[in-house]
Amino acid sequence: MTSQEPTAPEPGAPALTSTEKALADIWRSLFGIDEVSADDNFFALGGNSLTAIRFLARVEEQFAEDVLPPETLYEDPRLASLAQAIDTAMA
Amino acid sequence: MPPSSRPPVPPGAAPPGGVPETARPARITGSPAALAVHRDVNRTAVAYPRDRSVPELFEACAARWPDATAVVHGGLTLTYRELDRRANALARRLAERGVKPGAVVGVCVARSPELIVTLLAVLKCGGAYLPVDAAWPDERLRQLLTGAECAWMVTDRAPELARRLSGGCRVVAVTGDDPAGRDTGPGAAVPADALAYVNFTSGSTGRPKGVAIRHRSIARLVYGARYAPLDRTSRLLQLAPVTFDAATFEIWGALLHGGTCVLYPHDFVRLSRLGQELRRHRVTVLFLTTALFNTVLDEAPDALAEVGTLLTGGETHSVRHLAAALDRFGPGRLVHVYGPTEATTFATYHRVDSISEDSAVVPIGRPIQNTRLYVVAGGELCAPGAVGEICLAGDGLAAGYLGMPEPTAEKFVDAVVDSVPERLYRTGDFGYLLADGRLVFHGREDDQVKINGFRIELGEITHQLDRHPAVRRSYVTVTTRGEKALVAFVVPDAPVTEAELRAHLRARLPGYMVPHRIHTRDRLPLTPTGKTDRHALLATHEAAPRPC
Repeated sequence: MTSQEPTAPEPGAPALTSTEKALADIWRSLFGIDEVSADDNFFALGGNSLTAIRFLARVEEQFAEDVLPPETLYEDPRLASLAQAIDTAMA
Repeated sequence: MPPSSRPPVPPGAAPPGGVPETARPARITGSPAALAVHRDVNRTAVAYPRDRSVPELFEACAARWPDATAVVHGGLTLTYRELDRRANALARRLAERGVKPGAVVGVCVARSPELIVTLLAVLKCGGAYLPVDAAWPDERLRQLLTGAECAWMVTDRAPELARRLSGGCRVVAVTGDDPAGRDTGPGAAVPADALAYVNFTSGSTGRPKGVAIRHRSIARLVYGARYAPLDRTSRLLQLAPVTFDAATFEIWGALLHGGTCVLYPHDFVRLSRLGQELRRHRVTVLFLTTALFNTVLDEAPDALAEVGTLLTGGETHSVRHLAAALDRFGPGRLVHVYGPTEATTFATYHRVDSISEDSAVVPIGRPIQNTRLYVVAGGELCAPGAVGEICLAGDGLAAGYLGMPEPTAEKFVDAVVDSVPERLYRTGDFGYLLADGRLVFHGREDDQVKINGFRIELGEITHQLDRHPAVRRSYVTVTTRGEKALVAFVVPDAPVTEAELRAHLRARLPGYMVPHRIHTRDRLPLTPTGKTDRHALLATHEAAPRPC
């Protein structure tokens, strides 16, 4: 789940890394939306402090504890940045 | 149960257009059944130190248990002696700077031992603390401080606040005291009916109301507590923003008993860390707002596994989450609490020890110690089953809204209830008593809406939505963009379409009560104080495409 290898791109969308895909799945479930791109912003999609608690809990469950500090989410809430932070922490 | 007609209480106390200065206390009585149930639930008097101030009560603990741990913050601890000495030093400095008994003192300090030192120091001066959040916009900050005639601000971000308040307040940096502290404080005489703190609640007219709470009301909250075991072995987590009155319970519930106040050491709540803190510091009593409680139950319930007493409340509960918690943690640990800021944090409590399969509601229970409640409609006490406005009385009642005599006179009224003179706080919440005296919450005054002439209780619609098996919880409100219409937001547990939900409601409610739109959402957004954020929800509704 944490490899940085790009997986097969969907038509018309840039390839997501597997970490990005995992985060996109969480966002789809949290926000009830179908399309999530690497450039999407957690708060622009409607995230708030309580959604953040849910998101971080699910990230820790799928990856590892402390893999994504809340401060990172608040500082740069783009999907690609969050995935990169997780990959760095997991490396 | 049909909603009652508007039950203004007491009759004649607040005629439209103003309050007569010599309004005679209304007499409130009721049927024998109504009188009997109210007499039963209101037997709550227990002895407590009602004539001693908070610093006096704290100092008594510090003298008795000087080496007990008062405050924990990460790896750092303060004993009662250390906390008392540091607060004495800061209190002396504040007194030297001119803080006198009766002064309102702003406090803008991050959750830390210094925050607790500051609150205690302000009280030792005879002042009342007014917590503010650095994230508030400048204009709101200045408006609140001016309205409260607040002339001092104690803060750990002095340069920033000095700039932002531009001379409106004298800014005092919280650091810079002799770390060893002082044996004695400024020696101010502090009566128990002096103001201790001010918390702001949002006002319907747009101007926040400063709820002014007395020392005695804090003592009433924490001594002889029926709702949770509070003693010198208690360890309470301090998680709520101090601008929110749950913090009153978290801080003084520990520090007026010789117990320990465990400060949550992070800026953001993370459930893994929450669990770690609760375990590491063996927290015995925890309060979570309804929404945070529901989130923890959904995402990481094991975080709460070792907490002895779990209190939750603040908005309409979710039976499903309470049932899940009861299932997981067993009876004797879960307490449903209710109380407006105006009655000092908690007014009623209900031990959730059993939930029947078909429970639609979980009561908010009986009054806590030294607190009385009345369900009043049409100027009379309600018998069990009849809906009325929840009115509260007792030593927990606020002195009023700071600098706002009219709202104070409207909400805090004198009455003679069952031949006993009482000062009542009219909550604007509705409820009814069960035959055994437990109170059931039944929506708010402002949850009653009128559309096309039909009077509609929004709670009745959410109640029906929540009964759908695919619905985890729901929220219904009114959109006023374009034509006034009901709009519902549903957090589903299983895939469900708007058409299915509409059919479900059509089968159970008159047509005028079926919402115009039913959106599904993965969560309900919250305001900073943890209530469902109606405006954020409506914004998503207004941005949503029209139904096909």
